[in-house]
Amino acid sequence: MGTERKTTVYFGGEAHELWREDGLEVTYSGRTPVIAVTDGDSIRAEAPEPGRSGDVKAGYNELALWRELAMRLNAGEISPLSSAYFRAAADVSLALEAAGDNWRSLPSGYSREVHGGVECIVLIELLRTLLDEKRAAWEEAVNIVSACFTLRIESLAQLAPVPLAAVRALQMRDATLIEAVNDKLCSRLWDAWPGDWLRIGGSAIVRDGEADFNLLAAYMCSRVYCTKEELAFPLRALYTLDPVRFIEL
Amino acid sequence: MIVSELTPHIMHDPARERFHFPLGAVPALAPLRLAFSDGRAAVRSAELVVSGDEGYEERYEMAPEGGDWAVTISAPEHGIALWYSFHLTLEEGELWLCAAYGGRFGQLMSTRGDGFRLTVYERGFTTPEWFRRSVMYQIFPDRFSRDSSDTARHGVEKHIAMGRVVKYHEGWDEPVDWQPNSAEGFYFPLDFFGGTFRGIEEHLDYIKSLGVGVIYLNPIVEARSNHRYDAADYLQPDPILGSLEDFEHLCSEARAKGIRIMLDGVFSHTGADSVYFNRDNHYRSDGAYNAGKKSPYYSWYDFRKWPGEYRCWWNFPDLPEVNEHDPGWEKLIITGEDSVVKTWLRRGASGWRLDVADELPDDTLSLIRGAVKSENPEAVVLGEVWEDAIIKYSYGSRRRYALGSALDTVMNYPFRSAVLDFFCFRSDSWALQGALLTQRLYYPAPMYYALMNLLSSHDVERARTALATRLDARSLSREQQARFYVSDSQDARGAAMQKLAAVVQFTVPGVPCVYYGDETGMNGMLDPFNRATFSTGARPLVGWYQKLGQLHSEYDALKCGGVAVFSPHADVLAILRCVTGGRDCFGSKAENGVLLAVVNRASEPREVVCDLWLDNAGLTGEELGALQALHLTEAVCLLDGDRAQVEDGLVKLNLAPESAHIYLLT
Repeated sequence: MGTERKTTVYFGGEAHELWREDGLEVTYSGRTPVIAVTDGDSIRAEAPEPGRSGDVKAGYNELALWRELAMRLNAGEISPLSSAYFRAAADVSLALEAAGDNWRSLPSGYSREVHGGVECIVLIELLRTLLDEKRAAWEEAVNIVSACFTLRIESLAQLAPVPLAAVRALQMRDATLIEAVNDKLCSRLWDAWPGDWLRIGGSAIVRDGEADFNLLAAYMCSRVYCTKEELAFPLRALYTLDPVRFIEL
Repeated sequence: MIVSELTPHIMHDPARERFHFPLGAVPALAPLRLAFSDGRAAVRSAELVVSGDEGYEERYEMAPEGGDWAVTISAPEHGIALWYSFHLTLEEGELWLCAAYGGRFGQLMSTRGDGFRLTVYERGFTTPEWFRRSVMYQIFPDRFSRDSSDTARHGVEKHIAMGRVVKYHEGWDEPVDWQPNSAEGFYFPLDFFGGTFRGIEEHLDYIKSLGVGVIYLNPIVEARSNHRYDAADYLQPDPILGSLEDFEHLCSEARAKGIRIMLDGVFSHTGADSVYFNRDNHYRSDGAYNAGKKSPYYSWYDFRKWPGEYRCWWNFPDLPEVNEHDPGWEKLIITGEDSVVKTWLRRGASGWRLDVADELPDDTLSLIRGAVKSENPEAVVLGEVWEDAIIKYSYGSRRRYALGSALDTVMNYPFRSAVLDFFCFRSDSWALQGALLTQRLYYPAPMYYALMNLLSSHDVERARTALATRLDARSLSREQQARFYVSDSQDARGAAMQKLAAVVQFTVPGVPCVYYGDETGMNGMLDPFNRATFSTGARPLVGWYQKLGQLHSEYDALKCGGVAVFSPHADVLAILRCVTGGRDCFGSKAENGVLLAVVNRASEPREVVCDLWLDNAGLTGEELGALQALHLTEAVCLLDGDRAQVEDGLVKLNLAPESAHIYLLT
């Protein structure tokens, strides 16, 4: 039995982006909070204590909602994406809490290996937290994310793309940032094949409203371990674009 | 106005057979399928609009075919440069899919923009196979090599006896003259070093060691100047170079070693000091200038006011222009039984480079082609053209000389510019790849594989100097060029880049042409500094050029194989050449082989992956399929033995700084 650690994870709601003189400020409304309780590799959800307010009924209903979500998370009655998001958000939140003001040195103490599929949402969640909460610059945040993660694809079966709308329902900003990362990738693809929309479209992370999390991770991770078959097909464009990061298994 | 939201989904790429079949230029009357994608099924109807000069326009209704819109048309019955675009009807209105990004990809526009290019060339257009498979060596005859006889000195004396001012450099190592040497303050190239036919002949083994199959000689006929672009007598060799027997002996000796000789025909003008014009009375002939209308040559020229006012080339009074449609001129130069172009072929030449081809009418060029081919079907007609020869517009009309009825091929100055821009860091490999692919797509294949790919010539600064200094030599005055000193560090940089540029030159389709002295590391700004005597510079590359020449001779893939060009990194260019199935793209026998040339211009190492299976890099679908079926696994560099793995068409390469490789893929 290790030490339990707790942090709050938020689901859903609206994100409000406001550009100020000192950069982008993001605020949220309508989110559903859940307390993530971790102990080593295990994680469970608890409903937060409701804050007192004059509207007892509203508070009661809110608490019911939180408890319902926590119960479903613990029972596994949620989508793999929601489950992955819960774990990812908790992991990132705790890591940054532990890093405190030294969050720029996060890669020295926070190193993770992802294996493809929906768990790769952790990359975007860390990116979001760095950008929105630590107010990191884009390049700085991307470099930290890259340094923290390694991709080791275990199965091509995990390649199923995820509807961006589903990500948006969980965490609106994550969906926005996936699109932003996709734009950056497409920009690099454009530099390599200017005007070749056929090749750029075929190599993009987001296609027809769905995000390929393996491509997302392969684009963002500092190291990618994969088979030659994966290099030859799903990762071909990324491999030719930046071969240094890829290590053949 | 550009309409962007549908642009990624409605596209056309002339380098993909899905959209343009067959790839590249097509012969007259050949079927051609053109298509564009419609990824969002947004198009309700579409029309292919093909246009050309002088109001040419044809429209073809297109039909949906498996997510694309397509139509198959028949190419026009004669060679012509055309442009096409797609006129689309969508729910929101009418749009045009027009060419963008250097003509490579489409862009939706609300009004009609630039069209995609389409080259149609004459049916039956062929070029000599021996030429397409050769390496060329260009020699400026006065400056290549003296011989041990007194030929040149006697020739100089003969010129002087005629009344000409001639300077003979006693020392071979003396600098060329460039200072004004006329009363008007102009420089006239009247200094001779005494290079001869015999001098060239004595170097044939050396030239052969470079893998050379054809020597291009700048003009050799009798003339007043050292460059001899001012012909005085078209049928006589300049006595400074040697006798007719010397020339014929050179040709036969060269031929015995597998080398042919190509001459420079300067037919748009003559020298004023010539048999034909005879301004200076140095000849006994009745010239147009000294004899007026009683001269048989009077009608060759345009006198606004005889004798002193006449049309001349670029207003140089020493170079009176001729009327190419004058029957007398046509007969003597082209059509007569013993015409100039025929006679020199009989004397042993194997082709003509036509000086200022732009300034010869298309029908004259066709006549020359006919005369040359009638004398020797294997002889070559090569034109001096500085731009894209397919769409060259000059003197009020679109030129047709590159469409199969006139020139076999042209000097490829656009190649030179693109390569030097890349190695001078004025562009990146994507730009170079685009330029090379453009030539693959728009030149007729018989001409494309015969393009004279040069890095230097007598008209431009030497490649070494361009690469070393990264200057535009034209921005310097002649005085500044004369005083310009290429430092040792600059020369080192130039040599490093020249090695890489030469690899590109020897591995793209066409005839690589080495200007004498480039291989020995000579520097030189513009004329006359690029015409110094043959010598060895601080960093000769003879061994490098010999190796490239040897590989070119050894591997048919480099001579006549299919081509794909890749830019895996801004600093790295890769060129794939392949022969599969034992035939080249003209159906001639060729040895199978796949070679990949890779150059890294950067001063840092580069790790790149080259994707050989890209479907729009230049190979046809058939060539790509054959390449994939080879299941290539290994790459071994023929220059230094470096090895790399090939897996599923991907070649991962660790390239040293400023390095070049030519890999044999197996």
